[in-house]
Amino acid sequence: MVFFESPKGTVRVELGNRYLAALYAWLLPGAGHFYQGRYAKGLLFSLTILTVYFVGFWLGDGRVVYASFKQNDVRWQFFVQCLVGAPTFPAIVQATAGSENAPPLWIRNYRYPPNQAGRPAFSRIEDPAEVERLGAAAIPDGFMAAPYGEVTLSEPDVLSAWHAELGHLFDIATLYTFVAGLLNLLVIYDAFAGPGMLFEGDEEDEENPSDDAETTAKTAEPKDAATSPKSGESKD
Amino acid sequence: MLQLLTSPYMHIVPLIAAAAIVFGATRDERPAYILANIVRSALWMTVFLGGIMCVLLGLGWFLRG
Repeated sequence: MVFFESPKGTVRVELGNRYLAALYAWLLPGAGHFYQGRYAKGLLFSLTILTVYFVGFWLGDGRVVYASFKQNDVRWQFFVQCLVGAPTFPAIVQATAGSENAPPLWIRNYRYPPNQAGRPAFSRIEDPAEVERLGAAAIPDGFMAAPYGEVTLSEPDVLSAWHAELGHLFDIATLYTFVAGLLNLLVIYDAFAGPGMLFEGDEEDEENPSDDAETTAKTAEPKDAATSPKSGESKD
Repeated sequence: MLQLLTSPYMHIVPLIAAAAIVFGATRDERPAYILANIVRSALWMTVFLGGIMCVLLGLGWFLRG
């Protein structure tokens, strides 16, 4: 049990095993709060963060969350995106399964290789017969996989084709999934250490008597609690 | 007005809302205080980002003119 004191009263928060709660919070946004019995906050976090993440995922046509450490395509954003937890695990599987030049798992579509007469380089193949005709030359796009093949700075490649197809949405979708990861970092901390209560907020809300009653009712052993808003911890 | 609603800048609105909700909710456990924090966070972010946008628009206008 942890107490949080502010000038308006004391709030008790049952954090349980805080390390486990933080792990759950990382695995699925809000799950750490469900484990702690903080259902309303858990639901709020879960809905908000997963909505932002999946809207970003949808805007980016499922291509903006991938792990890549290739030359010219070090996807540093993934380190933040993966803070959303389980929804990003397929990207980790794609990055770690198979060798560097192996085709990705869960192939969604294929693309024309460069130098195909009458076809723009790396454009999508819509006709399955074309995929059969090209055989191993067809370039696969995997679900949450890094762009297949080399990424160069001077020649067209799969990544540049993705950018051409999605336009500004590639960056906006990356931003959405990135922000979802950052927000889950706050949620993980909240599950681990409880809320970071703000004193200045209490001053603005002094005219709300219902909250005073609520917090007073919860003030069972406030005298033992530390005076800082973050440090009153007891063993019960 | 319709042009503004369909502009790429509108993508920032859900992000501000989500960030305000999560930030506000991690500041307290009591619903009324959480709501107050959400509103305050959203206002701060809107004013801050709006200010930056105004500065950039002003700079763009100045440099073009």
